[in-house]
Amino acid sequence: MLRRVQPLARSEPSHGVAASPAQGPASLPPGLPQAVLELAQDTAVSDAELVRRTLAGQHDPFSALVARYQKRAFFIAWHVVGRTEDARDVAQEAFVRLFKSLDKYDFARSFYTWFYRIVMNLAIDALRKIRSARGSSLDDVLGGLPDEREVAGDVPLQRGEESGQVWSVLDQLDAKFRAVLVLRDIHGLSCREIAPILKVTHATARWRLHRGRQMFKEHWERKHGGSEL
Amino acid sequence: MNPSSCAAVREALPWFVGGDLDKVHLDEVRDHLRDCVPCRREAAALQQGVARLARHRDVRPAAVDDDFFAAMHAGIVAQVEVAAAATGAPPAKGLGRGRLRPWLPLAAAAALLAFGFWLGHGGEPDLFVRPALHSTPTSLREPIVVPWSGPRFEMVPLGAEVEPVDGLEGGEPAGWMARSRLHDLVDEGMVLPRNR
Repeated sequence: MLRRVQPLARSEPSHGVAASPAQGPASLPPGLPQAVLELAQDTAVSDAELVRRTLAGQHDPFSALVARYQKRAFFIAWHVVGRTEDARDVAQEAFVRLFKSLDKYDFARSFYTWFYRIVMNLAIDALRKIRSARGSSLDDVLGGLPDEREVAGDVPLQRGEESGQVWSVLDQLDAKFRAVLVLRDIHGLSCREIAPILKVTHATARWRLHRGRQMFKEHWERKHGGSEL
Repeated sequence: MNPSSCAAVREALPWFVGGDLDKVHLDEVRDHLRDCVPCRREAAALQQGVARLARHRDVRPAAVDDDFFAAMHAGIVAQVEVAAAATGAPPAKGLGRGRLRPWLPLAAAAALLAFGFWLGHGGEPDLFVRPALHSTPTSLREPIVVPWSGPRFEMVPLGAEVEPVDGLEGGEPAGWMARSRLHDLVDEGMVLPRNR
């Protein structure tokens, strides 16, 4: 039986988003069982090794994988779909799908690329569903954006305003451009890392980044005025 | 400034502002921006967009804290367990329960059924008459045992040599048909009369 998360003790706020997966795991949630915590924190145990141990039927390696990647999965999904509940659902579904397809993992490839692809596919699907549910009236929805777009208390008010503006511009972008901007400019992945995640060529990833940045600038200027230069 | 040069530089600016340009083009664009104000303004606007997105990385949803992620971890684990239980085989691996084999419950049920049948069947009387004749069949086919309450004999494949039996176990059969059949067998030499 997988060990359950115990009642929690609050710890210092964690960022949860790594600039690059190569920089090591993001901070772990509190309250994890000791064995899972040690496994997740052990940098000598690679993601592929955790997958291998999971496939061998050992205890806790999948739980450790969840601990390592859940924040990144959540924040990537959140930056794509823009809603906390939807992002959490996407992250959870991504882990379930990951678990079901672990035996298809190609150990010659990086784990996070494979996993991010699952997350990104689900997030883009969720975004398209949200948009189709919204209909064409984006502005009406943006006027009543849910609470999750209110930033946390430790972020200055000015940045909170800017955050809302960034959301409104991101909402104008097509999902494929938004996905590249999220991965490159928010999460700091390179185009070489983004290409396999989105299952496109490197050139396509670069082109989408090019167009995405241009479109972001144009939408920003249209919506919030030009730059104050 | 050369307009064609401006067009080429503006084409490269979205990559330039994010550091996604190779060294050669990076130097060219940088040299161009040093002298071209319109292109510099365009680059600054793009640069601000990239910076806004980078700052957006620090923004967190209000209700998302460590408790949220701890609960999410528990939720994921629970969902995976449900998925493992629903799908059966491979998904259970890694949860500390080992691999579930789909044929295992069926095999266990079959073994249990066979054991129960064996237990229940042991004490009851034999429904079939066991062969009393100990002939040695010449073919590979086993003798066919038939239910028969009368004189005991065994059916043998055609062509098999059967030694005549000396007498009958159990005495004369009760019914006239059985007796008639017995006399036929005696006449055919398959069964020797008891009083011989």
